[in-house]
Amino acid sequence: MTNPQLIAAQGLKTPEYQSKAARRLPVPPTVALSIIFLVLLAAATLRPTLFTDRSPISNQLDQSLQPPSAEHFFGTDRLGRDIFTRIIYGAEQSLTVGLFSTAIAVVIGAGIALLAVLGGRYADEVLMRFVDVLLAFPTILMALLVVAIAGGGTTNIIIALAIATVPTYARLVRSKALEVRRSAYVEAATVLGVPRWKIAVQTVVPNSIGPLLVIATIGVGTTIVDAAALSFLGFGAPEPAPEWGAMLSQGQNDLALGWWVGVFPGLFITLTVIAVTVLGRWLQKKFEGRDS
Amino acid sequence: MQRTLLQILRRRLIGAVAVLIGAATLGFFAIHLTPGDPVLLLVGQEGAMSDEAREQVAARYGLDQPLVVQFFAYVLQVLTFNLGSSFRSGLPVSQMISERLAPTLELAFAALILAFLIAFLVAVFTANTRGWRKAIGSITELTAASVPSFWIGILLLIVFSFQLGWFPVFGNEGLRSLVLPAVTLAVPVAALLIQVLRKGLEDALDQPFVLAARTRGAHETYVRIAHGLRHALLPAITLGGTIFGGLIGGSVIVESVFNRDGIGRVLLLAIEGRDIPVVVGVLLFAALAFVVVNTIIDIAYVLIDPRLRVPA
Repeated sequence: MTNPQLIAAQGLKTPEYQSKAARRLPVPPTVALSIIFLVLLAAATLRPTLFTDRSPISNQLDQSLQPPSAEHFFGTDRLGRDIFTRIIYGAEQSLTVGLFSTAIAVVIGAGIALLAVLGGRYADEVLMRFVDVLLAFPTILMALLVVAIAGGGTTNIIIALAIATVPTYARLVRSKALEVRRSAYVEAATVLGVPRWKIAVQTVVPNSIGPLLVIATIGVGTTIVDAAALSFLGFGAPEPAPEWGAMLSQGQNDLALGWWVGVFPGLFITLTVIAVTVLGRWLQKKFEGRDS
Repeated sequence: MQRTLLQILRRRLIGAVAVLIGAATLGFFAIHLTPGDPVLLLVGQEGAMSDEAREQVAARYGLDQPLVVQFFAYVLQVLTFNLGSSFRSGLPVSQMISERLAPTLELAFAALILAFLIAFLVAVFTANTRGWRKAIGSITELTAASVPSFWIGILLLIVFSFQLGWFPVFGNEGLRSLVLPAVTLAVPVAALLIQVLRKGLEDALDQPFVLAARTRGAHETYVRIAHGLRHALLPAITLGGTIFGGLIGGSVIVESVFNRDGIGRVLLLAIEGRDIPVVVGVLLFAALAFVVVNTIIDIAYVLIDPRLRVPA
């Protein structure tokens, strides 16, 4: 299981120093920029016509491979489609896959972890052994196996990446839940005679799930990259659907003729992931105390 | 010490068998969940087959046995490192992997060295600093962790192959064709290493022996490299399995961007051709290698760090 973002997220130090001007903002400037970028992406997902009135899929062969200009901000691809327009329409694909896939993985992962923690030693041993086995497979290979069985396409990519990341979340929630179970407030509840199931529902679950949501935010970023990678490899939504990873793999044949086809879609993947990661790390710092 | 090593080996061996059985189970389900008749996939021609011929093929590959029998046969087969044969070419999967292993290992090894070099530089230069040096460290780490490797590859191709013409666009020939793919594969691994090395170096620089070295008047850079880095390396080594997984997974993408020969290519062709035994075989191979790497790391750890040798 390779997930540098998630591993990194567990041991972070962020700068404590802030200028006077920065302290007046409710959030640090980098976080503010990230939020603005993500809001714009969300707007592009919901209402792409706000940003462009062109079509992302209609070919204009007389406009083939035009360099960036006032008319085509990011240039055009081989089929004369406006790259800016395709990027705007592609936001939906990236955000949808990132959010849905992570959500499914978190729910299943948390379910497995809570079963393991609350189900006694035997359930814990069996479930966690199973999770460890799955952790031996790199995320992208696991997702590729699912794609090999079920075929490509958006839905299958969501499922494939969810399956591939479930073990990471199961491990994370389990360690969090164990921590909560050992905490003083659970001990207090036990001493007060609160029934086991009630402690589980009222205390262990909410206290384990909060931090998980923060980690999941960062996980959305990683999933967006992995989804783009699967599309790049040719297993995403079929042509002519605008998808950032697929745009790069189609553009790869034209790099000698126009650099722009290989630059802008990748830039948007990277900016999206940076924005999600900055936001996630900030949330983590905010909710998990100053010194993690 | 002997006892500890034996304990580790035993625990790891059990773990390895568990991973292999788990992976084999996964593989078995994968093969049988795939839509379509495996017999037809084996023969490679759809529809044009008499019932008699179909039964012969099924019998030859054991596909006429009950599923439970097939399952145990498959797990046993995997435990003896027999990964089965390709649906398409009929070649043994282990042969397909071993024939293409060299270019992938070459790429992974080069990337690993590069990643360590990059991470060393960034960590030594930015750990425990303030202001712009700290900012460079954070920005490098965040960017390296966020940027998709296929985009790095494309950017490198645009600049160094198409504009400057320094490196070939694709292929496996010579050292020059290895440079861009290795850099591409190194970046995400470096991101992970920078995180760990920076943190490790910051912890090490708080230690009394660093203070002692500084009091003796040692140069700051010397202190960081000679005293700090050694300590920072241990936690980085623990991530060996994860790094290895990243290299294998990443090589699939890098080999596709640069049109290189290797395991990743075998895997991609197999997925396109729905050649599930090959897909499962590559996955099993990756999982097995992950376990082996982790075992070596565990043993190395005991050998490097004397504190772990104290019998429990």
